[in-house]
Amino acid sequence: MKKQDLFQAMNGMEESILRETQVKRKQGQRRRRQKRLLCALAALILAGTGVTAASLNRHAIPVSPTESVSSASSSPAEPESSASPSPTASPGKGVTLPLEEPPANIDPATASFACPFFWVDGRQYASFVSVPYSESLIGKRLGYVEMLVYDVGEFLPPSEQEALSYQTALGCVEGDFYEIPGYDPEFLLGMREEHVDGEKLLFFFSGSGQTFYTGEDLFQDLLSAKGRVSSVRAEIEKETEYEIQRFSVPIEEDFTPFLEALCSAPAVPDEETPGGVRLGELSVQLEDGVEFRLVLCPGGYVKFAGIYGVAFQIDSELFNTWAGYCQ
Amino acid sequence: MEDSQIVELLTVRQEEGLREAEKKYGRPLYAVARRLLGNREDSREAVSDAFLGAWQSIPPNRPENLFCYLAKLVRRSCIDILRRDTRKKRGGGQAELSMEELSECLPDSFSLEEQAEGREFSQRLAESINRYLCTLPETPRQVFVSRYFYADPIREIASNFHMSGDSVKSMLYRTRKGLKSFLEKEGLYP
Repeated sequence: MKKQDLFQAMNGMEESILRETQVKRKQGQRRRRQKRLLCALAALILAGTGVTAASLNRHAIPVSPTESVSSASSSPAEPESSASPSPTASPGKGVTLPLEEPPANIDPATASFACPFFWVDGRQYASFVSVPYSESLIGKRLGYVEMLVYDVGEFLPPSEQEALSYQTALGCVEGDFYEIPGYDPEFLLGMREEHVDGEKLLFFFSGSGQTFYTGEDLFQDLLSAKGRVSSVRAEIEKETEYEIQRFSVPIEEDFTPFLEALCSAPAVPDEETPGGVRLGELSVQLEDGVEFRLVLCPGGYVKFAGIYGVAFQIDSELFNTWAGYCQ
Repeated sequence: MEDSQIVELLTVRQEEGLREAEKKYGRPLYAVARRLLGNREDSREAVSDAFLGAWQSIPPNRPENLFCYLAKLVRRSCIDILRRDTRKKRGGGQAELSMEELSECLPDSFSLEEQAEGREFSQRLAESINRYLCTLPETPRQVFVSRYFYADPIREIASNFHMSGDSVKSMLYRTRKGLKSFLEKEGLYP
């Protein structure tokens, strides 16, 4: 009991001490978040992991055999252990985002809570959007994802480390995941999350295993966005010393020309874009309640939040108009 | 929304304040609870209890730093849950690890529950810890708080402070030893 008592006494810690530490923690989280937003996951892919068959099994996501993700997939994905892990592109052949298992040595510090992500069947799913939960938005339960929160066992004897090893490298969220009716589960999954003001639905997108020739492949073939956009908002962030404040501002401008430009834009591998600080972020809502984010990057490039490795370049005048709404 | 605005909403009993607090801090608070308890259901319960506690305690309280205030409430809920069900101590959470490390700072016979004036002693202990932390340089102090208040994993602390994991561990070890000596000097050992 004494351990709990001292642990409890720590609750009497002065607020000034907690606050200075929180500032440091936030700085670290912000750094990791920026790193992540600048394609941390793509970097993991590009780095190549040399994952062996044994370690793939060890890190396999525990999906119930009767409710497996692959049952919802037309062709279950096999890990491409011999394939190049980086996105590939060649003239006329589009940009192919590879399948990739979780790296064996993922840094738990990267897996913080700002951007939920996980792996299923070699596909990376990441979520930047949540909406109020509605039963009509989800379909069949497809499986369960285990959470990676921290590297267990740092202070435990080997026997106990082994006992807890089931918690390793799978994702930074946990819970049941569901198909979203009308969408390919290899592209979009949903996960329910409880909040004080009601249940939310997280949308998880993945581009792994997909080939994009133009934006049409993403925005029309996978999202059927044309004619179904109900609203667009500018997602504005302002950083202070202690926190990042977020504002969501509705945009009245007709989104159709922007979407048309995106659909006709050829896919470009991410590494061919100039990079740098993002210029803004748009949140796009579809009529059925599905929502996605577009990240506006220097050079007129538009990236789909959650799908790493591909970008679409559009007309600079049109781009600048929409980037202006995000300032 | 600014903390002060949220606190103002809570003070005038507007539920929107609770929603905004949850929107702003729900996820990091869940992270703290999840690390301590290692269990999804209990962690959600701890966070819910913390928001309920905030609703009940603001007013009369008007915290300047809402996150720290809520983090204390979450920790308190976690400790209640750990006490309620000792099985949770081995549930994979960091609480047991943190407590195990901290136990070096107290003698085996120590227990607040065995103290005749447990609450008063707990208060003295908290004050001593605060005094001790104020004697430390900034980095060891913040590393200690990261580990034993926020229950951050070693690797995350190492990342936050640009240190290696081993350096964090040895810094924590030295700090714990220092705390033990300090508590001895303060007469907090029976």
